[in-house]
Amino acid sequence: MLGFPLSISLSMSLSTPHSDFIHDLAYDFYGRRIATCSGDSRVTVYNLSPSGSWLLHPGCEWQAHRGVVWRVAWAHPEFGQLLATAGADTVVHVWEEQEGGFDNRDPTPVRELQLQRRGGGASGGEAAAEAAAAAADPSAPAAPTHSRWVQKAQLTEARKSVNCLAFAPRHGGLRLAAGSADGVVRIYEAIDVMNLNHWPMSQFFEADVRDSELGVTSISWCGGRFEPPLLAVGGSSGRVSLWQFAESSRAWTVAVELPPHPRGVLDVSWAPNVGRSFHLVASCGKDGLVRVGRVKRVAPADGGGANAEGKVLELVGSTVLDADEDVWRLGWNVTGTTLACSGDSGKVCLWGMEKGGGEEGEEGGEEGAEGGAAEGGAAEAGEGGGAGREDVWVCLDKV
Amino acid sequence: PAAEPTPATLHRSPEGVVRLVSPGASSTVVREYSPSGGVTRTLLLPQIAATCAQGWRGERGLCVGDRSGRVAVFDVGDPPEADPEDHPRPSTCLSTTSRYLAVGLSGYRRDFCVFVYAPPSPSPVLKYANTEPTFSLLFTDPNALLTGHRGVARLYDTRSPGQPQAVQCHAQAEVRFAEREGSMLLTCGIEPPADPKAAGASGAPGSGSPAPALPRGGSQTCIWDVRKLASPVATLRPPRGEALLGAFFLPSGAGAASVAVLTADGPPATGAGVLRTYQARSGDEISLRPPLQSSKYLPSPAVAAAPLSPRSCLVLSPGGAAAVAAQSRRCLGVSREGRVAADGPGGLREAGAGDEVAGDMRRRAEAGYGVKNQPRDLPRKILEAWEYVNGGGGEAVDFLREEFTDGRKEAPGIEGATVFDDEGRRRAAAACGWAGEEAEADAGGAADPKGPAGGPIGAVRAVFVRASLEAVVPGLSGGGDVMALARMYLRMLLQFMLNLHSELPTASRFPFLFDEDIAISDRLGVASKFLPAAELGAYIKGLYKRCLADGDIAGLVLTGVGSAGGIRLVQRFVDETGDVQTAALVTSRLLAPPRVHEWLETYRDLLNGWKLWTVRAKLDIERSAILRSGGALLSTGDVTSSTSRKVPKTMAEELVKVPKQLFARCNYCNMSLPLNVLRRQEGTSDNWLMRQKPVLSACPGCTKPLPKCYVCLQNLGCLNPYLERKRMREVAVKGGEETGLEALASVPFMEWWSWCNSCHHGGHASHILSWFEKHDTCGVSGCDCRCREGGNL
Repeated sequence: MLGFPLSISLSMSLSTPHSDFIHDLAYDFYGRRIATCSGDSRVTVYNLSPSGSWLLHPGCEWQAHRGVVWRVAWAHPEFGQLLATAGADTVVHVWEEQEGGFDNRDPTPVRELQLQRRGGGASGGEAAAEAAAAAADPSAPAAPTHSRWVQKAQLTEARKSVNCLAFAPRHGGLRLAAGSADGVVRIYEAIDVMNLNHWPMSQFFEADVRDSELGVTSISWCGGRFEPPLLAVGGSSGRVSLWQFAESSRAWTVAVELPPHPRGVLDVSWAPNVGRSFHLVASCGKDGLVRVGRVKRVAPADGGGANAEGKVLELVGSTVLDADEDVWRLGWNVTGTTLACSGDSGKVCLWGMEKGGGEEGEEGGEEGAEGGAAEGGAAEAGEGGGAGREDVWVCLDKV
Repeated sequence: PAAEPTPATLHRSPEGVVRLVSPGASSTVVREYSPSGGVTRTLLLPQIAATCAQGWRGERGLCVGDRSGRVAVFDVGDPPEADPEDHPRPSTCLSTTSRYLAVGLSGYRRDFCVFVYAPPSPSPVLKYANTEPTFSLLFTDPNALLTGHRGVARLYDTRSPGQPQAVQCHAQAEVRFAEREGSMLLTCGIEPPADPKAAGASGAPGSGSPAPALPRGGSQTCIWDVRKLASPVATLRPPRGEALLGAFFLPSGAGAASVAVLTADGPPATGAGVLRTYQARSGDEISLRPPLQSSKYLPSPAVAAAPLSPRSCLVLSPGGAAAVAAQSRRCLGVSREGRVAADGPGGLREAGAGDEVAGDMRRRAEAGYGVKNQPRDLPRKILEAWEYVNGGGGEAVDFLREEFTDGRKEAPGIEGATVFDDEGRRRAAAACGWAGEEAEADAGGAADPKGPAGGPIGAVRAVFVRASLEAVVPGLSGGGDVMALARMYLRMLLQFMLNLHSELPTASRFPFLFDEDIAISDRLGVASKFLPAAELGAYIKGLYKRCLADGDIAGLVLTGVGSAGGIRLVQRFVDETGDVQTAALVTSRLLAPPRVHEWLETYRDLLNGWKLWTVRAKLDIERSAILRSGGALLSTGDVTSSTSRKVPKTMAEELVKVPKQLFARCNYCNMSLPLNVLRRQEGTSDNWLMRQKPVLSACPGCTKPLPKCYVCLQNLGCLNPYLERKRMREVAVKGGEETGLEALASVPFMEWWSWCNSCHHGGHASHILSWFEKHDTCGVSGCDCRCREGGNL
């Protein structure tokens, strides 16, 4: 039951044309493209070639901001190839890819690519050769060999650097949450998905104290289709809170406060909920800890609201992962069963939850409240079962 | 002279060389550092006593300011070459150019505090800062001297005697660091400790100083634009609880300069160091960069730091100096396919991670795991659950709520054995797949009362059949050791036979009832026949509890799929394993509980995200087929009733029906053109329609022509609704006989309509197809819509 071994090594190296640190990277919805953003104010998009290597096509690298680009995010492909970038120049840009202009068998873009890549990393020539091979192969599917990223919108409401941003899950429409150093999280929405130039700010809330060093540092949506809009927000004051949008009052309120990271939060990540009865929210901070909080919808203590609407989110447990180094970033796999943490040393550690450990009391309490007195097992009525639940997480592998 | 231990100091020469001067008891060691943090040169100098300030002149000259304000210039390895004038005050700072040597003094007299020498001349050539104690001194270029005093920094030009440019800053703080980079000026004011005693103690180190006090709030770093010195461009205050130790510019890389601020996390000289770097762009707002390094890698306590390269600093602590390099934020991405990309010391790297749960799920989906078909390599528990579900388990009752009695049955096979029998027990046996055995045994018993029959023998036979079945189909056992499994079942049989008559309590009579390795259905089957009612109820409840705790989906046999207990069990299974695939498939024939809907939707989303659209479509088809064929169960899941019941067929059909998504209408009269809509509008223009061909080239409503195909320029056709109505009537009258279709048989696929959803241009499907074999853009002249891309057609 313990430790399912995983063989994983980050073998493939992507040479980047960035002249400064890469501050964020994001896979697109299908995992076929990677967008990176850097301190040199540029953004790069790599495409996965049919042969399994990552290629940088012409037009997929451009200056996006006047200053550091902190974060990059992909929208759901339903809305097109849309990228959003957040920069230290206090602006959020929305970009849309426009393909075409070149026939894909025209060798010109490849030559262009080689020229462009020569200035890049050491292994640039190799990748360029591969690109040439891929383009020369007529059987290769018509990959977008030339594209152009067109700026669709500039969202300039933030007063300070925009540190983080995230697109809402698809069912929430084309919405974008951006957290800024001024401590405010702003929600933008493209009301007409056909008109991507128009992104009015639909809501905003102050998520972190005004005078904290970096304001809101990280943000993550809850992807659950059957939940109201929920956001996990981490700030440099150390606060990790889950915000919920109430349709009735049309306002964001704090639903749950997770255990803080006293010296500031570096990243938060809301695990995909694959039909589980609880949510997992991971956070890491400058205190060197990685926590996984378990949040559940439970009927409020006063007994009111037995229906799903009336239920409130409640923190039912929190686990500290025993990472032996500082962790900067977190990422969940698609089923929310494995947590990847990138450490100071550059290693990626994968964590999996160990099975077992009778949560029966907790379950019984929850179901008992829901299912009524008809529930047979009297022994299961553990009302206070939610208190201090700790999961056991095991480190699966390091990369 | 009584040499007090002099702390080591860091210097950065105008050329960018960082030197660490560590005076020792017998000699002074000077180390020079390369930008990468390595030591490039180590020099040994004679002992330098009582130095207060040090500087460096050219490649070889170490300048030392002592307590009396004298400055000695050492040539490396040689005795002092010059010995300028004596000022009976401690020197605080030194700066040199190839021509000048400036020394700053603390001042308590009405005298100048900055003396600029031009060695080897022993007398100062310039005197600045009358009665202004000087804390920092820097030649920003060969002729510009930047001095830091209490609350003010000044920019002197050594070529002109005029007034210096003054920068009013930091109130009462001592400007310990002042630097200039292009048009940007940096000042770093550090407040002296609040307590005068503490101040005195720090002036005389080692004299039993009290615990250092936390700094007051006045320490800050300011960035200025030299063209407008009225107010700073940016002010950087250390976070509460941290003491500012220093600030400096990092050597600029491309374009923007960076400012590094060193603080101590706690009182100075005890707290661990924290370095923060900020990116600065002149004329622009200064933007923050995140801290270079988390403090635990900085030497503790940090005393001072000097920049080595744009991304590294040398940090000095009493224990020595260490080079610290900036590192990226180690960004990370995880794809839906389980690939991981991360930025590490080796740059950006990417690879597939063997994702356990999601990977299994995806593999199984590709292998055709569906409602009707389950690959045999699934885990045993899941296979057990499937065996039950496929055996019609969905309709079975929830045995948690079943009332059992102690009704008995004759057991003709074995004398004296007690076999219980009642409705509930029979249902339980049926759920376990023992119904056939039972019936067969009953039939055999009726035919020959003395022969082998139901009861124990039937049970034994069932178990045995099961064991041999598992031996034949290794998949059932989850690929485990077949022989071990056979042995296990044999042991179960023997235990069963031996203890059949004994009066022992259940646990010792039938120990295999608690054996996790034996399928739950078999255990339940045995229990339902040989345990008295009281024990049976408790046994089933205990078994269920166990399954709940483990998230064991095989326990569905106890509850049925649709009952509250069953849904709860599947929920526990998902909580435990994350296997929403199995949950969605097992419960796919249920309609009501919201959780079921959630699992199904989640699983469909997963499949879509993996681009397994055909698998998803197959799932939808399978599910609708089951629902339509009357297999749907309206689960009472979360509500109180215990059983699930079948959904009426019509209702299921209504539930699974998906309306058409796309319609065509006439341009002129807005009449919908699909046949089923046209069919309803009977009567209006029948006379006209009667005379028409089966395929019309005009709108049946307004008789205006339909649009033309842009390739052949012929009008598109639509079916004549009159004929369709006639056909339907005939079908109704004649009872199912389809006639008149031959007229329609001439409408090939070729003439179906096809159009682009972007530009709405279209025509006959075959023509459009052949057009796009050779073209990328729309065939209508002037329209450059790239119809073929993005699946618009």
